[in-house]
Amino acid sequence: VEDPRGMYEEDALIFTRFADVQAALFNRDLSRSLDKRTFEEGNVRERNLSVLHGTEHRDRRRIENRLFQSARLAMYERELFPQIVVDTMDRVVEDGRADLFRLGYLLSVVLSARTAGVDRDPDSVDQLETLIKHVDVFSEASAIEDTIGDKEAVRRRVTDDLAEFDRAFVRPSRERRERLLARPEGQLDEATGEQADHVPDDVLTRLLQNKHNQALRLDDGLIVREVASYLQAGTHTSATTMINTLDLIFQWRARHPEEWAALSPNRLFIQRCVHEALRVRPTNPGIRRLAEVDTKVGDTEIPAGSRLILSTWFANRDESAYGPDADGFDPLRSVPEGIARWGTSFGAGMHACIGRTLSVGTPVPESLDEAPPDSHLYGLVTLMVEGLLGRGVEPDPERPAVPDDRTKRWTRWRSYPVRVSAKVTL
Amino acid sequence: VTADTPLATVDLDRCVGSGDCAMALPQAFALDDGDGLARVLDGAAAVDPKLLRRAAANCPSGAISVEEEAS
Repeated sequence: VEDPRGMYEEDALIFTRFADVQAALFNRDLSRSLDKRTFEEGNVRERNLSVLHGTEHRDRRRIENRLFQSARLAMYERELFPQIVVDTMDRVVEDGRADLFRLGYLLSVVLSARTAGVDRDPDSVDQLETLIKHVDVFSEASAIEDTIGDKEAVRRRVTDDLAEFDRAFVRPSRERRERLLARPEGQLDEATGEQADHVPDDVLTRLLQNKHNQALRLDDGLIVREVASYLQAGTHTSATTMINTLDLIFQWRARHPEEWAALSPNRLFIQRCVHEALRVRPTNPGIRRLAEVDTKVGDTEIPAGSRLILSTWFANRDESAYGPDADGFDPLRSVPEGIARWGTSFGAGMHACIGRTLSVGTPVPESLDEAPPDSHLYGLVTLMVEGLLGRGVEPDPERPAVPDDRTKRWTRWRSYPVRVSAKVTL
Repeated sequence: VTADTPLATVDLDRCVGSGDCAMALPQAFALDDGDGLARVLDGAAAVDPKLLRRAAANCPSGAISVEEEAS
């Protein structure tokens, strides 16, 4: 399966070698400022961190990076998320059946909402279902350049959906934060009883705290879109990676039952599976860039204005980086020092995925038998996969999985029915 | 504006505070509590220059430079 939906057919320079894709990702002359009409205006990505360039990008990223520093990620992973996994699975598994798509979204959206700054009723599954419907619309719109079918319909849908998301979620969350931020430190808020110095620290709060800085152009619409983007990105990519990892594990363990029995209790091995699945199935098989000025990628001269597609799919299969069997899923493969096991799937350089460590943790040590350093993080997807495996997850033989046929990005799913049995043990 | 040891330097005008350097080499880099940007620690002098160069190559904003030879 290589470019089955014509993703690489447009008028662009296609790069497929690992070294070239890496070089292009670090090239500061290449921006993500793509077609403003379809990609940005009115879309969830308009003036979003992910499409900014130059100093505006640097200044926004500085604000938002602080939410992804290691102490906070460790708290999410060790204190918050294990209980979310157990609670959510207990709620949504019915009669031993579940859909990994819905389950992955529900698990991921709880933490994404917290990171983005979307307040919600912790007891309401209906509200989570509403949020994941928003995420689905935002996901389609975020990848609009790869939409199969009517792009204008996608644009109309996201415009309406952003307005509803603002009304139902962002405005109440924002009003609460503004009330708390306005109170003198230590004073209780009359409406909520919370202390003013306990303002939730999330994307929404950070944007509100910096709104006075005119250079950052943090207007009301941008704040809604930025919060929506964090909700979307954190939810969709984690859920997709979780499904792809399990799909590949199902195949691998059928071929290697003895290795699986020996290794699967080891959380580091499960994390390796997540990283290998990301390499083999990047959530975006083709990263786009625009040359802002004349530049070079490897030996190739790139004239200003050129459009580039950086094939993560092929770069991650480059035998010079991953060996002669690079095409296959092998969590036990050896990888040269300094090369990421997840390939180019998170991008790199200034637009490297801001949630990478939160999602898949830190690099796995070469030896799976030695305890990792105290600072090691496994990532939320690893915990999700491990939680499901602990519950005996199997593909549902009566209901086949359905790929997402709305997009040229062929590594995504619309539905993945499974059967589950035992209680989660974490 | 820089914060550096003889071997490694962080360009604070470029740094975006991703923390990748501090996560990969906590003995060599840390994020400042005030501005959230990276600083080179004294411990960097004892770190294998090859690892420092890798941290520089992986820095998302290209803010880290490493001299070829310690001065």
